Amino acid sequence: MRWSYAGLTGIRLSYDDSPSPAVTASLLRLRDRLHTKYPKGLTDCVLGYRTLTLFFDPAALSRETLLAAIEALDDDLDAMSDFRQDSGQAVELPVWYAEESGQDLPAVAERSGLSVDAVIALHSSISYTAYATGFAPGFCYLGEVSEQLEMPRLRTPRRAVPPGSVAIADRQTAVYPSLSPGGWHLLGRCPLSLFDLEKSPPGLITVGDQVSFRPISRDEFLSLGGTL
Amino acid sequence: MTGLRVVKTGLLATVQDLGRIGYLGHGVTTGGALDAFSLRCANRLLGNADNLAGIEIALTGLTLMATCNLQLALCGAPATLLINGEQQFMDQALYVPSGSTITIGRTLTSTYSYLAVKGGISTPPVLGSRSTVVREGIGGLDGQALKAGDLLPVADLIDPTTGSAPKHLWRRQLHGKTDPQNGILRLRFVPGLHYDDVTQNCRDTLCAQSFTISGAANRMAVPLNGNPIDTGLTKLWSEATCLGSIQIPPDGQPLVLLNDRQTMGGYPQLGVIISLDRVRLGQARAGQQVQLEAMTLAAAEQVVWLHEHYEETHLKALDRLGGTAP
Repeated sequence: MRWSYAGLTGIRLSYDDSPSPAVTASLLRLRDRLHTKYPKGLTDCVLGYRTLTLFFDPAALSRETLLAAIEALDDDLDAMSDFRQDSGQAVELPVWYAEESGQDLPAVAERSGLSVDAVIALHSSISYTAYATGFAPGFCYLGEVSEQLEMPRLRTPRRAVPPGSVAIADRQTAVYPSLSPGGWHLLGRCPLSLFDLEKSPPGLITVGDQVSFRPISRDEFLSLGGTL
Repeated sequence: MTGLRVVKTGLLATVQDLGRIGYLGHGVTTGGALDAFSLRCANRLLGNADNLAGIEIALTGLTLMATCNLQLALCGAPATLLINGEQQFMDQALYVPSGSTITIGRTLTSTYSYLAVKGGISTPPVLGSRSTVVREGIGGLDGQALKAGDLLPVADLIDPTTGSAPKHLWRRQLHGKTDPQNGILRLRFVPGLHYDDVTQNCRDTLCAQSFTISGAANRMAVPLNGNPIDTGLTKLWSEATCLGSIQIPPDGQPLVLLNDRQTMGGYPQLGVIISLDRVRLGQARAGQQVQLEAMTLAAAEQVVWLHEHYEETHLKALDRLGGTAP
């Protein structure tokens, strides 16, 4: 693991390994231990695919103290050989996969040389790791999508993607929590609210979770509170 | 409900406090006054806590009507302030009776002015802050910028100051410090993030030229135009962005990330501009020349510490004036 400055009040830790559930688990473990140790001093801890950026309040925690704690924990982490997923929870999201709810479904099928049903089966057969949250509140980058469904982003992003849209790009998948622009391929829609300001934490998915998708019918989508 | 009725808006006016802290990991950005010191000054003049919400007014002004008796102060970028058509000084606490029209004109220099009211603007807090982030639809009034007809809740003054004439409490101008010296605005930064991963040549191109602030600057980022920076880094995995990061997108034109930035980015970031220079950049206008300058962590800490001390001294002086109408 390497570290670098992220301004006067931030430290960025990074792994050179490719992103993987093991890397994420390791970063989460580090984050949780540091956060337990310095609940006031650390103001924000943000996981990327293979980075952990720590922001601290210099009045409550010095950079030297934080770096020393990181070094001590890093040795511990390296000594731990099992990369068991211990912080993530399993989240199952119902998805109505259809052209009506995911307008790129036919194009994705054509491009991957699969039937629409096979695309749905492939996308919903994998349990994905939530690697990072960003782009918009509650927007979680989930990976990895089957190689057969790998495709580049749209050349021209859409101006408005409806909330709950389930989409893929490269080897990632995600659910758009709110109405926003977007350049990913839309496969369907989830009726659940992905980001609720009244809840703590506000996001339905948090980094480290294992997320799976369950195909549902249009009727079930509507009965679960989905809107067209 | 009483408060400030929005009569006419300009380019952009939003409710801001000192920002939303602790939710970057959920994808929720900081937001908050781009020039926090100016908002704090306005609050202190009124005897308010620093973090009470005020209105950030960008460039082209704002017209409001008071539906209750209130006290207000305008700080930050210099602009004409009219109460019922009569010109008033900025940087002072003013008593404004119910029914008054408050007109803030176009800024004369710099970009952002801050209007605070005694007791603060009490729109509902979201995740611990009233700051508006329009892109996220969070904070302020329904997550939106101010528009004509909006009513911003403000509590009626319990004990209105006697008389309706504005009281000149304090006339000293604070805005001069946002003006750059020698025509070029220095942007000092602490190298970090991906700085170790780029060539010396790339670092040289970053600091050996002056850039021009683009007209596309907003609360998310200030784009800088100049000779393109080639980081040689192509595919990066998304990671946290920082307030004040120098981010290099594929076109090589740097972006300095500000308060409403997206919390994650996939482009290289070469360092973080120190807070005081970031605020000056945020206040600067399109066309302004800037120069990036790498500095050591120790030097940066010293400059920032001195500046914060200077600000605190100023604020303490305002405390003695705050809320004490003659």
